[in-house]
Amino acid sequence: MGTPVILGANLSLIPSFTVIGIVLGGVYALAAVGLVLIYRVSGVLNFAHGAVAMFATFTAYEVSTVRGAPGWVGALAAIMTGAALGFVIEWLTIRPLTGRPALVKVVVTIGWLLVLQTAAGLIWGATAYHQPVKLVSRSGFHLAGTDVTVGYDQLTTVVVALAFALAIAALLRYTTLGNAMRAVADSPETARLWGISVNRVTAASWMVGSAMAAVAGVLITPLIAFDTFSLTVVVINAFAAALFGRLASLPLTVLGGFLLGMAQTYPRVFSSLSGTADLVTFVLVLLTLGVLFRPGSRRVRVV
Amino acid sequence: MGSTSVRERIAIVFMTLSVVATLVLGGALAAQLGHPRDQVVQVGAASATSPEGGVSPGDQPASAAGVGSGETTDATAADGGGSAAGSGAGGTAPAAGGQSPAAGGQSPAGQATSGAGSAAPGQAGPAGRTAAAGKTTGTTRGGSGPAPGAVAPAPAGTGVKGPDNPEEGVTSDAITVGGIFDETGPVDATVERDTVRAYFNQVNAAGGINGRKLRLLDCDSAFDPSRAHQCSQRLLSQKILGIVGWTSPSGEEPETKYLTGQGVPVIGGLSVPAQFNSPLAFPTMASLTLHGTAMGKRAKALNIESPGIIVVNLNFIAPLKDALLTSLHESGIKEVDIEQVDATKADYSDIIVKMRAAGAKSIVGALDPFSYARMYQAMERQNLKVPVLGFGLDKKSANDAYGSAVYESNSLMPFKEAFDPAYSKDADVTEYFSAVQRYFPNQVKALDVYTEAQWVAAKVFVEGLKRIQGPISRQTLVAGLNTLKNFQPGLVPSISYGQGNHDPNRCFSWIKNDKGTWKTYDQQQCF
Repeated sequence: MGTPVILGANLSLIPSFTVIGIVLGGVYALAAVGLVLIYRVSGVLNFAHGAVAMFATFTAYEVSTVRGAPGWVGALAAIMTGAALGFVIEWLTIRPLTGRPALVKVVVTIGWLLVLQTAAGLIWGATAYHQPVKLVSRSGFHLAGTDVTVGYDQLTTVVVALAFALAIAALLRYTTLGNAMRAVADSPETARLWGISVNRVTAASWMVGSAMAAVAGVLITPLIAFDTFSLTVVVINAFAAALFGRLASLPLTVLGGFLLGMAQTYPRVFSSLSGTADLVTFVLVLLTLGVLFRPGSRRVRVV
Repeated sequence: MGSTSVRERIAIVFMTLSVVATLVLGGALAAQLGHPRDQVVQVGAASATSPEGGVSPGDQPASAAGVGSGETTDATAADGGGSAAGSGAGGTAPAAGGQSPAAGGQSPAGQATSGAGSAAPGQAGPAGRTAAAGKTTGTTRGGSGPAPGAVAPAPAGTGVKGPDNPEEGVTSDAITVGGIFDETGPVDATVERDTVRAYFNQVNAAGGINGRKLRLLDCDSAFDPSRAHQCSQRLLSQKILGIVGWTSPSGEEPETKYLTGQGVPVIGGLSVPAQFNSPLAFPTMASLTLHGTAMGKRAKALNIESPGIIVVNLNFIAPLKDALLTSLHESGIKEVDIEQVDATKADYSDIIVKMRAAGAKSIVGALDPFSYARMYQAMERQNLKVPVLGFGLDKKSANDAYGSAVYESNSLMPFKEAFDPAYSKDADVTEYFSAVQRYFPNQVKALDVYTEAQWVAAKVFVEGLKRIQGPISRQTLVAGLNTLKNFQPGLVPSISYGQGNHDPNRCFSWIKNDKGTWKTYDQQQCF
């Protein structure tokens, strides 16, 4: 019994590529969850989400890779930076636009994208040559009974992504803040009547969502070209995952992230050129828009 | 209504601020990346001393023209051996003594300059030798032989100044050349740009070429062929004499054809195929095709078995890959897998998984230094420990990212391996390191084989300039470069050009990584 081959590709690679896809998908899911959280609570599709992740990740790079602090300290710095940026963006530029059309706010987030990307390029250089933040050893272990080798950094990425996604789910379900967020997501006016400070809840959603973007950024640096551009456009993949959950359902968003990661990875069995991954992303976005958002399609449960 | 209007205004103000901030930050970024260091470096007045300690002859003591923006350098040698710098416009400046040998002792001097009167400063070795004005001819060993730690002597450009030729980048006080570099994107070629500048700064600190300072206009091709073409057009519109020491992986193949088609000589570069098919192209290292052949031969010597091949996807890679495969097959080695990857590819886990599944017992790679980093990281992640043969592996800053996976790797080297401890006292290597350390200290760790190629290109260019008899133009520069026979720029035994297409350096050394240190184990195997 030889190795199964289809179109010249060795299908025995599938298990290993599944691991690679799950890792990639975990990061997309994490970024997408933050995106959905912000969108549901504040009604703003945050195009600066990737730029926030990028800027926060470069903070981790500065702290850990450049200045030599442990990786977890850098990650912590990234989370704090992400949360701070989320707060500043909301407080400074989104809150004053309350009641204005969503398009105006979207344009404002594009402004932030430009500012953050250019500022990061100025501070850290605009080339791709930045060493990723090292959270754990790069070596790997063999998965018993298979041909699959898993890197400790890959395992960490999946565990952290899932942990954060579950933590967000728990926050929304079991905490007062989470209930308030869900209330604001459903109806800001009703929430206000119930005595909920919509501004504070919205700011909190921006902070939590942006902090998750920061974590996603730190985790994904070993997997992408670590520069100001690539990290910023990770948001496109996050959008694709978020669309799978119709920008509403966190579980479907997480599922969408993992599916996207695997969908981007499997074509590499046939071709190593990275254009295939981009092609998959855009095809999936188009399909999702066409299928899930067609007139009369079933609504999904919000948040 | 009122509050709506206020909010709209706030939004408009913020967007305006965003645009302004982006423009300002972008401008600052561009300035930081590209322009603060392309200025002509001034010779500090304080350094304008003759070997005897006095102001050197010339109308003005090294106060040349004020071009530049603040990056002032001191041309005085580190050990204070004395340097003469006297560039005074209109002055006649037979430098003191008039015949000081350049370090290395091979520069016949004595030709008094006229016109701008540049008395080139010399340098100083431990004995305080001074190179003064003198026409450098013959097989000059330009700028070699400094004491360790000292900045090497700049070649004295001391021929006749000749008339200006502003249409081709030659004005009364400067000679302007262009360079296209990937300053942003996946490949960081700012170090190649700065290496060329370091040499130019060194020459300028010594008075320039017959009173004219060397000026490098750079343009960011951003790993984009269309941007590279825009750079070509922009540089042409800015009136350049030629292209020197460029590094634009995706742009060099088409732009070499375009620029030489416009009559512009191109010196240095990555030795892409087009640079061996034009009499106006002057490469400094062997063609990449020859690299492939040499690697195939070396694979046999290293007992490489069942290799997996990884090559970067560039518009000139096909001949290299074909040459490598042909050479491997001739050596009786059959590859088990071939992967062509984008330079933007970050995670090599899938490639390494494929290599393992294909049964690769070694890896032969033709990647850029940054891609190698990702490849080694994936090897570590996948626990794949096999021999690696490649080229361009010696970038120290990238080696930090390679980790221990790079140990025992072999790399091909068309020049002296500057990071090899065996060359730590080598005069050419010392000059190279000293210049970059002096002007761009942050770039020293990023030096590698490609910066050596551009360093040699800068030296070749200066030597070609010095050999021009009469007016400086693109045509006379080509003629001057074609007179180079066994020119010894350091780092490589010799460079010879001549009429027709050029292929001046067909020799390689081989280096191996010994627990993080690159060591040369086989020198100058020629093909």
